[in-house]
Amino acid sequence: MKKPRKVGAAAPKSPQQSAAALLALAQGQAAAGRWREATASFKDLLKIEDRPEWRLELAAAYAGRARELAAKGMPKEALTLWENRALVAPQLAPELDYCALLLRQGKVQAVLDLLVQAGGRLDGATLTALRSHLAALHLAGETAVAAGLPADDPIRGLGPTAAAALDAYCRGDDAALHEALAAIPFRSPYRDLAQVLKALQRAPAAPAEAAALLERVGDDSGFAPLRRACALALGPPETLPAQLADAGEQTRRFALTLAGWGDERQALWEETRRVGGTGPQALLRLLQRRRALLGEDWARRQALRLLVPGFPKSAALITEGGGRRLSPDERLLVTAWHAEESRNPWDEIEAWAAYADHLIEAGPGPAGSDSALRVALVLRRVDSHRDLLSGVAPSQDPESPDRALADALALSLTYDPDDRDTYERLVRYYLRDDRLKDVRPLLEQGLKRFPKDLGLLTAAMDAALAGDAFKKAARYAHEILALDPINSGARERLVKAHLAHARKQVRAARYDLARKELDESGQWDQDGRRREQRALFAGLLDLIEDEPRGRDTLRAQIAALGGGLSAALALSLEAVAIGRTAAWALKAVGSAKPQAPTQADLSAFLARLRTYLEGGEALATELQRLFDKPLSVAAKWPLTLAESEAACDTLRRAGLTLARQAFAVAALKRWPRTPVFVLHQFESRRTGRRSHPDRAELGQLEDAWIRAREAGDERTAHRIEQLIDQYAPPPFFPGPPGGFFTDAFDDDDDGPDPGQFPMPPDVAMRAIIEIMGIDQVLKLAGLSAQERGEFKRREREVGRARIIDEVLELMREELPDFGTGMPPAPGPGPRGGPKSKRKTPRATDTKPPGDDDPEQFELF
Amino acid sequence: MSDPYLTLGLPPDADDAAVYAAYLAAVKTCPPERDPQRFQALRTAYESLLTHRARLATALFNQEPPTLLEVLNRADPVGAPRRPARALFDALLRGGD
Repeated sequence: MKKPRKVGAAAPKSPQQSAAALLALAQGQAAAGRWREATASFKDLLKIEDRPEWRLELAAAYAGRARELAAKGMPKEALTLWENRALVAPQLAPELDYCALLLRQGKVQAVLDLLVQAGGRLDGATLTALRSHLAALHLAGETAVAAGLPADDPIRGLGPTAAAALDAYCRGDDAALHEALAAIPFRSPYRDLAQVLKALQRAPAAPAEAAALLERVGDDSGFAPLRRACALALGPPETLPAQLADAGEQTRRFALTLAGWGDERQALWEETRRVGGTGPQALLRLLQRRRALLGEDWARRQALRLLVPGFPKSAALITEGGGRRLSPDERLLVTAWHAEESRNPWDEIEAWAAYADHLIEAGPGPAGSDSALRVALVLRRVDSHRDLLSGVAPSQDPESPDRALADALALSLTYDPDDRDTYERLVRYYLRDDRLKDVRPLLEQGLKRFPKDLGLLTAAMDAALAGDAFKKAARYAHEILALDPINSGARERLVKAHLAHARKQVRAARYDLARKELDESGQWDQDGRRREQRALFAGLLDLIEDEPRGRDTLRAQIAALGGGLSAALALSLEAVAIGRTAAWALKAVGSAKPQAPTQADLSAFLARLRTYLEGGEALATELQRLFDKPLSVAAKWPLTLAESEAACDTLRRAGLTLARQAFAVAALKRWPRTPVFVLHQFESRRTGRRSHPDRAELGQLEDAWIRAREAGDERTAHRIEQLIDQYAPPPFFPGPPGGFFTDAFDDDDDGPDPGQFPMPPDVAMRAIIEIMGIDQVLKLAGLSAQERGEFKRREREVGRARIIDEVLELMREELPDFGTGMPPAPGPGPRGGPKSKRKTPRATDTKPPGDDDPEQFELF
Repeated sequence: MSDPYLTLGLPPDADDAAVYAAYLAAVKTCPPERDPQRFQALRTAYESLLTHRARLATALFNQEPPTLLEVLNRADPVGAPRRPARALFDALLRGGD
């Protein structure tokens, strides 16, 4: 039965349809590769008029459709269309695709007949390709080829040579292969076979050369299927299965064999292809089915790993695939694996702890045994996986993850005491909080096992220094340097340890021992980094033991240091370090009252101070008092912006508040409204003051915050933000979570959600007034005594309940947001804008809150 | 890499020396300049089996699921390239796909 034509798919049926329009339609369909529609249209066109050129176009459409069907695996239907093409345009030469299709269908004789009838009309390339197809078939043992060709045809003549080459390759006889290939001429129909065999021969040693040889075989060659299979086999092994996914069985078998896949491997792969998919479920089933081949333990372990993503739900898959249920051990292990995906460290800590408990209950065996090592490894797992103990000090909360992990690590040493990394890791962790009680047993145990370990010795030295055990620290440093003579870090620590020990001896009035330690430090201070410090120390010792001599020595040293404030600082630091006062030392050298520095002296002073602070020391209060004023005078020197900023920062760290303020003020004169200097000015002004900053100060701070943000100076902006939060009004009304300021970053936020207040603000304020008393609330609101007296008088007249109503009414007037449940303006912040003004309690009353009134809260 | 033993072609009871020897042999056939990816896989496998403690840790903590290729490698590792039999050639010469 004729297939009904699709509505609108082919030519229009109207008799008025012009041939020209139909032709245009048919050609358009052909150009678009819509061959089925194109053939119908051209057939309709030929019904109008049988033109030769239209027949040719119909023939082309038949050919296109035939190729389409052949590609879809419909060879019979394709052949019919090829035959139609021959009928509609018999003058056309047969196409190679048609001939190849005939050959694949076993119709060799039909092709040979075509070759006799139309061979003269075939172009050279097509004829060569067609003969390569026949040669391939002849080589494969297709007798019809030889039967249909004359005896002197090269396909027959060179057939035995080609077969000999192929056989030689298959049996691994390279010499015979070489000889046979040499006998195949370039213009032979077996030329492509020769290229393939040469490629296979060279592939192991020269894969690139082999690939190039294969590329010489065209897609239209009869040897193309062979070339394709070879190319796949010689490609990347990892992608071979994927490349072969759509290949036919012959190609797969050939390529896999050539790629070195054994029969068992090929069978297993074919099995997965049949069941479809390589997802977790398919692999689980495969592991279960082939567990005997794969090994029971191995297959089981891999199956467990496949369960992790969907655990515990996925546990059912293993039984569904025919496997046995998970044992308690397996369940705990997979639970722990699964917990490693959690963001919450406690999930992982608890899961591995449960597994460790399970292993311990099973009997871990003696320390160092495999079972004990397993326990130790499990106890250390979370730390090694999450690296939680690196760079952190022990939390104060004993229930914190780091504390739990530290306990687990310590326990792990019971089962595996030979893991030096664990000793050092724990020691470093506890040292960050100077927890020497925890450190000492670990070091003792670790050094007993690893007495020559540099890491542990260094940790031991650091622990000794942390405990002021300088003698012990020096001993460890000696041990380190004996093992590693160029260890500059240890050398520096050793010098410091001797100096620290010497100072300790001075404080104990053991000056002879102090000198001995000082000499020791000099012996190790090979690069002279502490020479100046040692010289001053020695001078101070002289001053203690022989004042006139010490005075002369120190004066000479101060002069050598260039005098001035910088030298005074150096001497003062040493004096304070040995437990004496700076005043005592400075008096001895005639500089009891330090003078303002020159600009060069200022730079030297700040550099010296910075070095001192970077050593982790804090400047003594005496020195703060001593240097603050002379330094303030030095703020007049014309520093660069970077120098000014660095100076302010150093002065901040040293607690030199007056000087810091002076430098900030001076910098603001040169670079007005620079955020970092506004910050320094504000902070230095506020230091030691309990009063609240006034509106102007907060306004400047807010302006600086905006400017810092605009300039991309996030660090300064963040510091200012913290200050603004710190000086925000007291929380009479609950603020939004995270503080008021946090909302400032949310442009879309119009304010906190009224729903978050625990009670209506009216009720809340009434409760506050009841608790605090009317007078106190009014006082806090900034009302004068006279105004408060007026409220008291009114209270006597109208009663307490009414006067509270009036106070609330006053608040409603003064606070536009009050009635809506919104909090009062939180102080300066971007929402209010940099110039926004907060309302004072009353328009007519009191002065604005300021430093002069320490009791003053900014209620509104 | 779910099984470093497979990557290095080692039995599960391999000791330090065997691991080192397998790694050296593998690297010789696959130096980093030729196939960096494969070399990295070898290196990772080697490091995960380097010591007895590392081997125990790998067994406990490696949760990488297997790939089909690894299952196949376990069942029957890829061997040296084999020359297909003549029959396989003939099938393709007949135009088989």
